[in-house]
Amino acid sequence: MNIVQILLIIILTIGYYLFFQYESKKIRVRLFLLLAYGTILIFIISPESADKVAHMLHVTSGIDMVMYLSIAGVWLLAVMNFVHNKHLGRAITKMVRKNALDILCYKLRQMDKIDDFK
Amino acid sequence: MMHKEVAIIIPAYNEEQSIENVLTQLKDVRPSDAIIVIDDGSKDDTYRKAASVPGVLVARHYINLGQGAALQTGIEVARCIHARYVVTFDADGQHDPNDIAFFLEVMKREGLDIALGSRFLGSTNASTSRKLILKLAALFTWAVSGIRLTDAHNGFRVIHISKFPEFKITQNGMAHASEIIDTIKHLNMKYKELPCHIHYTDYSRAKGQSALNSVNILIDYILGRIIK
Repeated sequence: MNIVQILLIIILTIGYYLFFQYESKKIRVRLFLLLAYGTILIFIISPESADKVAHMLHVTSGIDMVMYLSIAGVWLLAVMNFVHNKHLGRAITKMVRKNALDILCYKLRQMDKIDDFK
Repeated sequence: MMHKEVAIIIPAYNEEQSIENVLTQLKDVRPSDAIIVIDDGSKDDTYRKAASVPGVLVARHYINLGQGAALQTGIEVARCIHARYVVTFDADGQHDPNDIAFFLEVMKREGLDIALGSRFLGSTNASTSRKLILKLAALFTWAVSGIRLTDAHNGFRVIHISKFPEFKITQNGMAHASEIIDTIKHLNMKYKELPCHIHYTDYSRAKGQSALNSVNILIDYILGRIIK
């Protein structure tokens, strides 16, 4: 095993550990991650196995297949992150708006000008 | 309990230079309307200056969310004071308070649900590039919503808000203008474009949207339609 393979395994393991620790606690997601981790680990340790799988899928080489999967994976992650950020943004908007309305409502109530905000 | 027929909503972000003048003019022309300023996380003295004008309701977002979010906050305040109509009005001094009476008069006479300001139905001193961008925006809105307007991104509008409890702006940024057009169609609102006066100054031009930002607005609008 060469130094690049060792480095890749270390990075992959740390990434997987962090994901496992802090991300979803759903069994389904954890199983998927474990499967992905195992597959990538096999491809790193034995690149020939990637070639075999690639040939089964009618892809020219293992490198090409890994590249396609990586692009798809990164794209999926980017979309998931974007949607997650959108939802977070909405939650922040709701919070900031509530805070603004609460403060104004408090002032108005003191002036006896309003019933209540929704 | 406060009860005003018309609420004028002014979203403001870093408008310390103009906000006092705008509010004073509005108070002079429309003394019986509720004036609601939403300071959208300004880093300057906008909040203090707006709050110093007597009789103005000022709410503050503690971070900058965008014009659409500020308008929605203003709409929620307007609903709480039982306003029938809301006017959306810019804080940079480019809108004319005298247009409000004309818009309300036409709305009541013709039973409109929303009146949208257009700088292209009267004379305008907008630059050629701005005119081109606004025309393209109007064409895009027509293609997407089927509603043909001459000026789809004019900040001056009057909405019969009490008639539409479901009227809501979800787009935080500038794409809210296109979202409002969608809402008109969705809620089957009776609409009309009316000429309004836009006073472009060096200040308002500097505060306006850049041509490049229109791409951002377009992306926000499309994504907003996809991600509900």
